[in-house]
Amino acid sequence: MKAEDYLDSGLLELYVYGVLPEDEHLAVAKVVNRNPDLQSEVVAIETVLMELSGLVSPGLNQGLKQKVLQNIDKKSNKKVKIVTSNYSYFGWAAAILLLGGVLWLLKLNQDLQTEIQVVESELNDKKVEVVSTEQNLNYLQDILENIKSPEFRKVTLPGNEINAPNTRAVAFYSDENNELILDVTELPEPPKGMVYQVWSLKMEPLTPTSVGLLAESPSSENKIFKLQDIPDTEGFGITLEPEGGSKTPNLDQLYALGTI
Amino acid sequence: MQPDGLISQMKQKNQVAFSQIYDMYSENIHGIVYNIVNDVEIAEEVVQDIFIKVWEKSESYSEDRGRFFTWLLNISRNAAIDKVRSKAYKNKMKNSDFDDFSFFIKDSEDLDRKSEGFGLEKFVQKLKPMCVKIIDLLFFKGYTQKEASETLDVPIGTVKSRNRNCLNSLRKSIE
Repeated sequence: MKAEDYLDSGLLELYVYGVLPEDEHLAVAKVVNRNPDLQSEVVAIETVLMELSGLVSPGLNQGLKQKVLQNIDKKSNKKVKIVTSNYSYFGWAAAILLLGGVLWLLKLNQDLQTEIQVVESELNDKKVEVVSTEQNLNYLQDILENIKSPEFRKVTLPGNEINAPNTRAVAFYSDENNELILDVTELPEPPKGMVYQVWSLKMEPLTPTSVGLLAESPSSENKIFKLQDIPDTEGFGITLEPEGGSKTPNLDQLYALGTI
Repeated sequence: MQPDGLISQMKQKNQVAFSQIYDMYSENIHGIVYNIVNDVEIAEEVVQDIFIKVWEKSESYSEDRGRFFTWLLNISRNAAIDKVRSKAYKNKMKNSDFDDFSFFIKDSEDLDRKSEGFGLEKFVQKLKPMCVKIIDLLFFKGYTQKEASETLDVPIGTVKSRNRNCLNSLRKSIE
């Protein structure tokens, strides 16, 4: 059918009514969309149908439009809500961040606990140190009290020329209390497995009597020792002996010797 | 011409464009629906449903597939016919007695009409009964040519041309 033939066929009216079978409808639509004459005929048909259908309406309630608009607005908002379901991704992200945050805080907490333990242990060490320092101080005060008293005599024991040249030990001896305070600050540290042994000496004939091992005597930092139950004496000697001490002094290992 | 700009804006969910399209077509859709359901209250209900559907389905309209008016007509007639088939409708409308669109036009002479409608109204009243019937079935009720020919007991080949002649007599009133 030629385009002009559509004009009088009555097909265009049915096309505008929308009552043609779908394939025929689409075929007419194709032809009409390409032909301006057919288009204006279609518009004319549509115009009279608009008039006719409008005429049949008994008048539409003006409030209806508002209802419809509210309704589609609601539906649009629902759509927005569907869009907000995209926000659930943000929700998940936030949850993951929160979880991360919580884990980080737990880790931080654990680190802090460990740090507290370390600090507590350090504090304990310091306490021990303070106690030890206090004890040391008390000891030194005690020593000082002792050597201030007139009954203690000071005896210098020069270092042995071979074993401890240019040193000396200093002894404070009280024959009233039979106590000896010995400062060996200047003597070298005894090597491992060896200890200093202190001897009291009688001169004629030379008779050494062990008065103790410095390692086993109360001391201040192993430098100032206090020995008791010292027998009547005319001098003191210090020798280096194997751990546990010896019955007689090893004179080759004499470190200091002095007489009263 | 059809408002292509508004239609494409509506398809992009522009509510202002939709509101203007409502203003342009709501009376026509109401006329179609009212002629089928024959009840003011039900007709408004259906018109509301139709426009919500138009909003939701606007993307499915394509110029290539025909007129926007035709697209609206199909949605409207289908919605109205669905309503008429519903149980609730049948219960309410037991005693309805109406025939075709001319019944409503005659019935509403006293109503305040648009001025351009008055001319057409007179022409409608002068239409032959066969013309009223054929326009009613094809345009208002959406009958196919075959259905119309069976209902009116006329040869199927004459439905198209008769309808055109009848419609042309109405077109004279507004041309």
